[in-house]
This record gives sequence, structure tokens and C-alpha cells, in this order.
Amino acid sequence: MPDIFAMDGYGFYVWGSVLVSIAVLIINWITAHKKFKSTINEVKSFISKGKE
Amino acid sequence: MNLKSIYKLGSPPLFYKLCIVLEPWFLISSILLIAVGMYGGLFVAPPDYQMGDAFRIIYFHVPSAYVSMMAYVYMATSAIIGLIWRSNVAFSLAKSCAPIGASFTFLALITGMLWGKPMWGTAWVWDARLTSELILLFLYLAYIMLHLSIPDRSKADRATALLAIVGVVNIPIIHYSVVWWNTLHQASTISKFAKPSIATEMLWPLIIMILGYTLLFAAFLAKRTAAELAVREKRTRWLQTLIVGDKNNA
Amino acid sequence: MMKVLRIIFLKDLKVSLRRWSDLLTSFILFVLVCLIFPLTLGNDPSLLLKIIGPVMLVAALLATLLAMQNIFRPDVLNGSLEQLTLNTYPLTLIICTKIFSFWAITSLPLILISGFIASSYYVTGNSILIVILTLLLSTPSLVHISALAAALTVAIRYPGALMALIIIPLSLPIMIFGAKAIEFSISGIDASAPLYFLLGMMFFTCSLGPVVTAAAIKISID
Repeated sequence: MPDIFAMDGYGFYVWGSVLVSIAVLIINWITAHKKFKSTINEVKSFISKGKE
Repeated sequence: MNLKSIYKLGSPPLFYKLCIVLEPWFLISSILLIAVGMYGGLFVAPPDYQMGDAFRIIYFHVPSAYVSMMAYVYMATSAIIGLIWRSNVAFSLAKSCAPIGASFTFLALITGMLWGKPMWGTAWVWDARLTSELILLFLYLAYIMLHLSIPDRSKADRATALLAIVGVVNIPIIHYSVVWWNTLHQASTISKFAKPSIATEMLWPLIIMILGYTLLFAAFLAKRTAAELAVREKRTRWLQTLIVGDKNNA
Repeated sequence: MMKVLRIIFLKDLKVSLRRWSDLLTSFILFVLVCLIFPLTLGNDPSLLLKIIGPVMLVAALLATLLAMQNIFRPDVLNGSLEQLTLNTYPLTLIICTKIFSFWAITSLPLILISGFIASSYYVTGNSILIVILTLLLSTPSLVHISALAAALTVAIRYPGALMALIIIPLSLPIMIFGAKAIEFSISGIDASAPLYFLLGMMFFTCSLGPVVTAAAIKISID
């Protein structure tokens, strides 16, 4: 098991890139999701403003 | 698949519904593929005789670099289509590609630096491929900033479309830089016509990761394009009935 | 047709000369950026010979960036550019003439002074000619790319550094090969390969640049 983490001494670089990649991809998904939610809310408030 | 169905894709209601429906499928399939690819790449593939275990960074570096270039070509193509047909769908696609492409380019540069440090001894070197990938990041940022700066939406769309088209000349430079110049970055291992110069046990996780990253890019793109299209079409009846109907059901 | 282009060329020259303080500003910027390096780095000839290529090209880029901010904005503000887009003469040729007049008035002084600045960097003999030739071949490309950036940002009220953000990624190949040409000639190697590349980039930008710039003007003015 420690063998996998050490990765022949390159552990920091390999697992570092794994973590950075996963982090960037998750941040991408969160920002896309937030943008979608906020635009739907904006459109909803636009519609309700139009109805009054 | 005739010409009419391609024209139909330019209709905002159809494209919006397509994005909403396809996005979960893209997301789930991409997460599965990336999980399988990561397992194969990090644990199953044998270590390289020259680079040891550090070569496993290839499974994160190559897919993100591939997607970064593909995203720019996709952005430029949507920009051309938008300019010629004045299509809201195409401009929304182009605008949404930019932040996603920029983040994948950033990822490619970071993983490349993490690979370069143990392999070449230095995190950065000013050779052709790395420099042109950095230029790609700046082109994405210039596109995003130009879009934010022009207040009128259609003017912003068309001006940034021109910028995207002008910058597409960078993509062949990145791709062929390892062929044209004697760079520190190694030459391509996967080619359309020749047998790949990499062992099969190392190749299949790479292909799966590339597919997974592409589907993930498609998922992000679908979500952002749906958001952008909703903003542009907020005065139309089809969107209002879709959203209000949603509120009634949810 | 040529008569119209000559009128536009001379008119732009006259208008630019009326704003001679702007031109002087960009010229002085070029000279100051080139001189700031020997002043701060000290008197080491080998170090100065190593940096002259990049310094000259970066200074030329900054001076061009500063000078080209005025190429379209005054004409948009007084409405004459809109009239030029509306008439029957091809906008591409008109833009090409404008850019040529701006190159003549902003970049030729830089090219002329570059020989003196090169000699202050301890460059000798044939290399001074190569420095002048490098600037002569790279400034048209830089001017065309700056014109494209100016056309894209002319609709924005306070563009700030946006022009720089657009110009710098697109002009990096020119900077790299120009610096290489000067570096080769100073080390004594034959500098013709980067110079041919600069010539090729010049043909590429000078032929396609006005087309894209004209399209950008039409978009920005609407």
C-alpha cells in the first residue's frame, strides 16, 4: 500500500497532479451548476416581474 | 441525417432541451470512464522503464491538453457558424466553451509542470509547445475579457467571434511544434496512421481518459450553454412556459 | 481608386502630425524602455549584448501598443469612419492605407533610432544592420495586429489593458523570432532563417490583417 503512495519516489508529483485535476474538474462542475441555477432564478424573477 | 436536422439544431428550444436532457448522461458516463481510466492508469498499467511511475501523469496531462485544443477549435467553429448564420445557439456555445477551455488549458500546464519537474529537472522551459500552450491560455482569457467588456450583446458576440477565428492559427502551431522544432517536449505517441509507440497496457487507460475528459467537457458545455441560452431567450414564450412549468412541478 | 487611397493616406498623415505629442510620447517610450536596461543592469557588455534582441522588440511592441490606441477611436468619435464603411470603396483597402500611414509615422522613427540604441548596447558592425532590418520586418506585423486589437476594442468606452491582452498572445511568434534573429547575428551565426520567418509573418499579417480589421470595424461600429 505505501508502495502505491510512494510511486517510486515520484509520489508527490503523481498524486499532486491527480488531486489538482480532480479539484479543477470539480470546481468546473460547481461553477457551471451555480451559473445555471443563478440564470434560472434570474429568468424566474424576470417572469414574475413581468406578471405584476 | 439530412441537412434539415442540422438546421433544426440551430433552434433555441430544441437545443436547450437537448442540453438539459443530455447533460446528466454526459456527466455520469464521463465519471465512469474517468474512474475506470484512473484505476487502469494509476494501478494496473506497468511502470515505464525509463520514467518509472512518474509517467502516470500522462493519464491526466494528455487528456486535458487534448480537450484544451479541441475546445478552442470547437469555439472557433461555433464562432464562424454564429457569424455566418447569426445564430444565438452558436454564439452561446462559443461563449460557454471559453471558461471551460481555459480551465483545461490551465490543468494541462499545471500537470505538465508537475511532470517536468521530476523528468527534466525544471518545471518550465521556454520551448515551442509549452509557450504556444501558454499563448492558448492567454487567448482564452482575452476572449473572456473582450466578451465582458463590450456591453451590447450581439456586438460582443461578433467581435469575440473574430478574435476566436484569428487565434485558431495557434492550434496547428501547438500540434505540430514537436514536429517542426527540436523541443524538449516529447513527440506524439498516438497518431492516426502509424502504430502507436506506446505499449497496449499503457494505451487503453489513456484512450479511456481522453474519452472521459471529452464527455466531461461536453457535460460542462451543455450546462453552461443551457444557462446562456436561457438568459438570451428569457423573453420568449417557450422558455417562460418551460421555467414556469418547472416551478409548478418542483 | 488610387487617388482615394492617396487622399486618405495624406489626410491621416496630416491628422497624426497635428497630434505630434502622442507620437512623441510613443517614440520617447521606446527610447526610455531601451535605455532603462543598461542604466539599471550596469555596464556589462556581454549581458547587454544578450538582452538587446528581446529589449528592442518588447520596447517596439509597447510603443506600437501605445501609438495605435488612436488609430480608430478619434475617427469613430467624429463619425468619419462610419462614412468610410458606408461608401462604395472597399473598406479593406482603406483600412490598409490607414494602417500603412500609421506605420510610417509611428514605426519609421523607431527604426531610424534603433541603430543608435544598438550601438549604445555595444553592438558592432553588421549586427546593427540586422537589428534595423529586424525592426523593419517586425513592426509592420506588430502594427497590423495592434490595428486588429484597436478595431475590436473601439466600441468599448474604457478599454484599459484589453488591447494589450489581445495583442501580446498574437504577437509572441514575431517577438520570439525577432529576438532570435538579433541574437544569432550578435553571436556571428547566419541570421537569415529567423529573418525569413519574420518576412513570412509580415506577408501573412499584412495581407490578412486588413481584411479581419475591416470586419471588426464593421462589427464595432454597427
